[in-house]
Amino acid sequence: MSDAQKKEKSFQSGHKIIGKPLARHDAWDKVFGKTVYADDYFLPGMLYGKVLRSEYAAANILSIDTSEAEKLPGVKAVMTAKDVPNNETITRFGQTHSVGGFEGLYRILAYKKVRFRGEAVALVAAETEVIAQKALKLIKVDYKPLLGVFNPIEAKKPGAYKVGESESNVICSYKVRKDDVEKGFALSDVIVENTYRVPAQDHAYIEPESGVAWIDDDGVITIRVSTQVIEHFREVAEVLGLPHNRVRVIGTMIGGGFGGKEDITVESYLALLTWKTKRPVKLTYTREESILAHGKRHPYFMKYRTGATNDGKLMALEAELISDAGGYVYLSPWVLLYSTVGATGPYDIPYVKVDSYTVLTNNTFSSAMRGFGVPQVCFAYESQMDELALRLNLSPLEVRKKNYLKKGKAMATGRVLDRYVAFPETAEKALAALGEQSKPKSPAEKIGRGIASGMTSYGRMVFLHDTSRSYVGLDMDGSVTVRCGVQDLGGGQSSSLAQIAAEVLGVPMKDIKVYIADTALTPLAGTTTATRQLYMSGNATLKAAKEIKKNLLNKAADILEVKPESLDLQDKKVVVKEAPDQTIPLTDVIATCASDGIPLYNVAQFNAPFRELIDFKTGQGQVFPDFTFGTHAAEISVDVETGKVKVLKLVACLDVGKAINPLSVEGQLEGGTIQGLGYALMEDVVLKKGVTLTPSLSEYLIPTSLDVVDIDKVMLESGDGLGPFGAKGVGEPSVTSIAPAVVNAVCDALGIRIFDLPLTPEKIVKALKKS
Amino acid sequence: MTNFKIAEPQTIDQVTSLTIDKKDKYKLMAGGTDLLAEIKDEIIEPEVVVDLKSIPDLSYIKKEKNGVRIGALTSLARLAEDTLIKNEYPALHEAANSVASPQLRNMGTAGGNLCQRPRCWYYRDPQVKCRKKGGGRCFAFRGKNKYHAILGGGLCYIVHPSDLAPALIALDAEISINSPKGNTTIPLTNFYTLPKINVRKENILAPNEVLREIKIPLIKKEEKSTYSKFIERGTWDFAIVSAAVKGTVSGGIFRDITIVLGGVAPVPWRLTKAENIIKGKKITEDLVRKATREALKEAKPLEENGYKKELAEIVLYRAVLSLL
Ligand SMILES: Cc1cc2nc3c(=O)[nH]c(=O)nc-3n(C[C@H](O)[C@H](O)[C@H](O)COP(=O)(O)OP(=O)(O)OC[C@H]3O[C@@H](n4cnc5c(N)ncnc54)[C@H](O)[C@@H]3O)c2cc1C
Ligand code: SF4
Repeated sequence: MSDAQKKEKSFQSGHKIIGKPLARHDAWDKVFGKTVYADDYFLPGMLYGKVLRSEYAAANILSIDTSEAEKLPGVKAVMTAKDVPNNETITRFGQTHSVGGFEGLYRILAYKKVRFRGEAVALVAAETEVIAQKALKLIKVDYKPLLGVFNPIEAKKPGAYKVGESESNVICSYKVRKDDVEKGFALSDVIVENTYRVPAQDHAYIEPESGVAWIDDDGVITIRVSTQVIEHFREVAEVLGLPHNRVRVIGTMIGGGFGGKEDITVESYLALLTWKTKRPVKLTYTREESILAHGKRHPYFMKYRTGATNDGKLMALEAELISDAGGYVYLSPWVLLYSTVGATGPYDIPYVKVDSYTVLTNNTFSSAMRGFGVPQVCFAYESQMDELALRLNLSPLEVRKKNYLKKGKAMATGRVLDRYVAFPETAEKALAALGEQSKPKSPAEKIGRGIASGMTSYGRMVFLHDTSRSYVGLDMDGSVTVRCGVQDLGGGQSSSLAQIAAEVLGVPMKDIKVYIADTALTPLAGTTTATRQLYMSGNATLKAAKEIKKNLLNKAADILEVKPESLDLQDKKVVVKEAPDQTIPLTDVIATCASDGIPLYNVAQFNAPFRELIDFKTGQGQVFPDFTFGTHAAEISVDVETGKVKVLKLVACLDVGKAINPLSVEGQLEGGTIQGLGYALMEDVVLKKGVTLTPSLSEYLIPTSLDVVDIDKVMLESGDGLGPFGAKGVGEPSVTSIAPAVVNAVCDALGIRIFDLPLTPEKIVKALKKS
Repeated sequence: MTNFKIAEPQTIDQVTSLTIDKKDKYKLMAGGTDLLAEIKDEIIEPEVVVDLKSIPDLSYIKKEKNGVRIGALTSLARLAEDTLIKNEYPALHEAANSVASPQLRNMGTAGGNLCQRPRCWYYRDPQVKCRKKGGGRCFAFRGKNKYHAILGGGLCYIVHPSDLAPALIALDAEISINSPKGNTTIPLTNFYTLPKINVRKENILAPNEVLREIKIPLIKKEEKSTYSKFIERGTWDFAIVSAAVKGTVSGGIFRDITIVLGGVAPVPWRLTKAENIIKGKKITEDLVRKATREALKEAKPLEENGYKKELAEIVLYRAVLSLL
């Protein structure tokens, strides 16, 4: 532990607000349905927007005739690609720091060719939703259907149907090379080899994409929208050909994002329609439209080969990953990089070779989803670990314990882990928490248990040079205002900032007011993605609050004629640490500061570690700031006649660094575990030739309350994270390893292995029959 | 979704005369849980929705000397909670209780459940014009068909989604239909029709006919029944396979038995062959399995739904065994 960290640690002792299980400041409003979401906004004179979507997955657009739609009374605008000032933009991942390579073409509206079913072709704004809907039907699009390609392995072959125009279907590929992998296999006594497949998963958030837009008095196009990234305002401005500061995005409370609201959703359409009509416009997707129109968790084909010595030491790992990007690039290159770096999991392996590809097809596009490419590979490598354990006659825990990375060890990419690595601790604790094994209730029932470990980054890739800003200000009565451009996904992002400010400034939570998510008025804090908000904006808020605290204590030290170090802020008072009854009211110090011109506010910027791009020939270098380590454990029963799996026990054990609000952390661990359980057992976006057959929640099954059990949450607090007070990120890490834990449990029960998700009853019965 | 008008008839006769010349422009609505979804998804576009809820006295459960009468507008929740049904007709109780979710059971009605439209994912896709919607082909036949019919298919391979239907048929229920041609009462089993009769419909009802009442005969001595449903998650899902069984049983032998499967065919599927094999013999797992296998010999699975055959054996023998 560095000196700075030791100091931080001692500062942590005696926290008043940090680490307390507090009900969030917005909890009651949500319970009583008072929270206002995007679709709850109505503006005077508002029009309704609708999107015409492609009926074909692959087709040329020969012509579009909008004349009938335009004639329909009540229709105020019909727009196609030709009406969009800059219809083609390049998606860049960095909002502030652009890195070369992998910039993907992104179209606002389809032009000449459609690449997936559901691609936006035209926009309509009308006086009512019904008129807008009618207008869509009057738009005549003349399509010439094309062959299309729907499987990334097919699409990767030379001569395959071209999804885009002239560009290759292979968007990009990565490599990791650590020594010569064949040497490693030569040194191995046991080698396991298999191909794993995972389907597309939908975010299935309760709130479909929604927003309203209007032109403000000052001519600024203002969009109030449910988004994880208000900073898309720049791209929206570029679509319209306006200066960036002429588009303002205000984020609403979000009814779930999970990565699905990381890309632009309705913003550009709203901006275009309001710009064209000069009237406020609202656009809310239906559930079906939502499932057709937002990116999915990438389906992957993963070929894995892993070798170990007889005593269980991993020697070699070779992996080939192919991901299905769907019709457009979106975030596929980045998701693939996460998978590539994560392909070896939390294991120390001397010889490694990874090759990865992401490929365009005519399926619904894939993009960000909680875990960002890591749950896929975790399913593959954790399946391999159990297969090895079986062959080596070791327990799943033993074989993992022989190979876990430790602090000071290097990953396959050469990155040395310089912070506490919670292995085998999380695995031992997770397994122990399962307790005694349950007994079968009938002869057809078999019980099994499994574990799986994962390491998931928090914070964005270090070559993106990520930053965040936060404003903290004290008012004369000691109340505190925080302004920070975070988007609150419902994960408690704004509540945590309030807690941090309250803790540092010694004021109660009720005296904190947080303003979030407004590109015009709150300091920009970056995306609520990549499990980065607590880490980044928490640190920025901490920094700003500490700066004010310093000013206050210096002034109080003058008044009391003591050293500032001997003072602290508590309960809206300045207290002398050694003599707690010696105090001055906070408001007195504030008044003095104000009259002496000492700032009572601060805008702080927090910079993540900045690094340069990795070496793409070998994959060597640093990609992530830090990782959250964890293990899931599951006990299940399988009905061997029907193939139905019933979950009996679930444990999520993660090193969370420091739980700023344990209730929020538990919420993440539960939500992530359930979302991963759905991935393991039932969630499957079924597509046939690019047509989604599961476009609503009566076909796309997600777990219900009867499919889950009480999840045992084991939180470890190493205090060794990069976030405020030693916190790590938990939002995404909570989902990573649950699916392989469940699959390993099922395989343990059945004595056979299944290689593709989800484990539906039908698949299990078929596998049993084959064996 | 397009706008529509709501008609609020006060009597059933008003309905039958209302719709007589407008045919497809009218749609009857009970709880609306299926109908409104079809309208929202633009699978149907009626001009007028006739709200049957405005007709008084169509929601009841009454025991009389020759049977129990259930009004078509009785909610599924009420059916699931009724103690008479629970005690005397467990198959119906279990079927009602297994439908969807509490919210849907509160809104959905017994009549609506029997008349609901299929869940085939091609049918539910507004952009797909399959045979059932007047198009030229069945997309499920060579498409994705793991949930489709293994029996009674041809032209169209839907499975009938109703949970009440197999249970009620096993209980020998009859239904009363109000029609401009006169009112009739028929066995429920005669209500459902295969695609080869009319691929656009699942039953004999004309647009201007109303299902008014369900009648179940009084239970016999030693009569038992059960409904067992296999689904892919913990709750709130349509049957992959379900089995309704009713019979009089003593000493491990069924003197008579009625078996109806759900989830396997475009109509609830009676297993007469299996009934005959089982009747009068000492029940064992083997016997029931053999009987089912025999009865399902005629099944013609599609590419992805062959597993339903075996699943049916298991669901059925477990149901039969549970009655011993
Ligand atoms: C998510 C979801 C899950 C579901 N899961 C299940 C399930 O597990 N098992 C199951 O059995 N069902 C299930 N259903 C279907 C549900 O049970 C039906 O929607 C409901 O029973 C229909 O009843 P209703 O009164 O709402 O009918 P409505 O929606 O009002 O009508 C349905 C159809 O029947 C016609 N109709 C209704 N009443 C009459 C009448 N008296 N005479 C003539 N025609 C009539 C209507 O014209 C319409 O075509 C599910 C539905 C949903 C949306
Ligand atoms: S099974 Fe019936 S409803 Fe489904 S696609 Fe075929 S014809 Fe249409």
